[in-house]
Amino acid sequence: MSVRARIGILMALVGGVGVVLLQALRAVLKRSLDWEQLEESLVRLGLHSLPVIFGTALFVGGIMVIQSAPLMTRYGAHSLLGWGAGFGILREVGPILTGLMISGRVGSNNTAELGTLQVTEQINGLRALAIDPADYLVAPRVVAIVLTTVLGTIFAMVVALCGAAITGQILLGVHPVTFWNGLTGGMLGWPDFTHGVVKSFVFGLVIAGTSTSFGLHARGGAPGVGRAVNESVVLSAVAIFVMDALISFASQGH
Amino acid sequence: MIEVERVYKSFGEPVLRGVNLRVGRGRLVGLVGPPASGKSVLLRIIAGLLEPEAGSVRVDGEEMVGLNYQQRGRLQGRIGMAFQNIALFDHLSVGENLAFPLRRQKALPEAEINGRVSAELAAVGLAGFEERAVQGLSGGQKRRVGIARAAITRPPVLLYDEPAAGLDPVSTSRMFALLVDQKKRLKSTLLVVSSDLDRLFEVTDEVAVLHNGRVLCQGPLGSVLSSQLPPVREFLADVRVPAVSSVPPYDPDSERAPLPPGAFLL
Repeated sequence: MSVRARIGILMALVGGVGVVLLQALRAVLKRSLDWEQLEESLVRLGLHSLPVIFGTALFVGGIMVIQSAPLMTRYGAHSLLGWGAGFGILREVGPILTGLMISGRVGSNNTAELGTLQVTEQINGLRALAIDPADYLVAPRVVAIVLTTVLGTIFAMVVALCGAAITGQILLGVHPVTFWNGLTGGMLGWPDFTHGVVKSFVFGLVIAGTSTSFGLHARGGAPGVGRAVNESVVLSAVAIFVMDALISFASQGH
Repeated sequence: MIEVERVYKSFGEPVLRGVNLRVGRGRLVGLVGPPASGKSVLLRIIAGLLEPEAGSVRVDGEEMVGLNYQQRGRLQGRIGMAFQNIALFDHLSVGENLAFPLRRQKALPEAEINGRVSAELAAVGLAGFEERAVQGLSGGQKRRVGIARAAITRPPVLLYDEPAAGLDPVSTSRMFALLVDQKKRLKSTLLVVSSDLDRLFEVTDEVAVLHNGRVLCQGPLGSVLSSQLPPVREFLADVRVPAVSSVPPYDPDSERAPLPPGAFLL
């Protein structure tokens, strides 16, 4: 395949994601999105993801302490445990971890559902009934995925910090108050938290736009839906890391 | 009334090459042609699901081509369509599938919507099926739900793409009888694509033959069968036209009639 053709495919992908996000924005601004579908999507895509986020975040917080324990012990820097864990979790681990979890669980589910609706002509069925799929399918799912990613990230940050504090006490004997003092001692602040939340918002847009666009463009029956899910998850994951790097770079004041 | 003039559409290769078609108000027109002749594409263009590259499509005198999304949506409200692969919404029950367009329109109170759903289901022989899951229906039952959903808003124009595909001969006869019943009951204009030419020709007022992206001839069955155009003669060579229609008048109760002793349904 020529470079020109590859660029064309990339532009089509970016354009498809952009159209999806603009359709969702238009429906939100016009308040024409289907509120019942939004509520249903929030429960199914968001609420049902919490146990997975909880379990993963708890262990990741613990793992961070386990990995840093030898250095902390060697230099007697136990009072820095809260800062170290907080810095990593708020700025990187929380948003990235939640983004990848949401991409794998919610994004793939979204692509599969929309792809199935597409190949079975149920989306054409909606349009034939003069119902705008953007209001009924696209906007509620985009809003639900973005909200799920942002709120899920905040939830993951809290749980991961708890996991780090618990592991710190068990493994290093660092009292939770010491951990808390390290966290709130002045070296960490709202900008670190906001940094993570902004990242999660961008990741949510990436996951929602990619998974919805790939679902709506699925062709070729069940194999086509499978391909769309696969491509959507891979592309979302790559895009999450690319956006993470860009946001991290931009936030350093370069 | 449907008026199609010089409609062109291609997907890399030309599919429709200047189609002209006219379906008069309250008529039932059968659109036939060899596979891949563009029948389903034409139906989708009339329904506003595809935009042609050139040409004009008017539904009850209003132009469909070139409208923006909102304008087209308003015009699509006058059209009911049943798809070849049925396209019922899997996540909704039978009753919810039928009520869906009415609830979205928000024009009728809930009691009236429920009443109309029950009446439409009874009209297609599925009275009492409101709470059934779509996945649990047979192919024929799904098709009848699709037909009922297309007509639930009482649209003046109904488009049916292979309404009898995959049905056994008895169900096929009932399906075509149902279309005739809908035409009379709703006074709608029907354009029906079907590969079952024998049954279709028994119920149509007119036939249009689409070949290689063009309507080669349109008119009453007799005039179409006497066409001297080679593609039309070749396509309709094996058509059997019985003197008396084998499609019985539609009786919704026949769908649930008790079976004779020893008989069973698969």
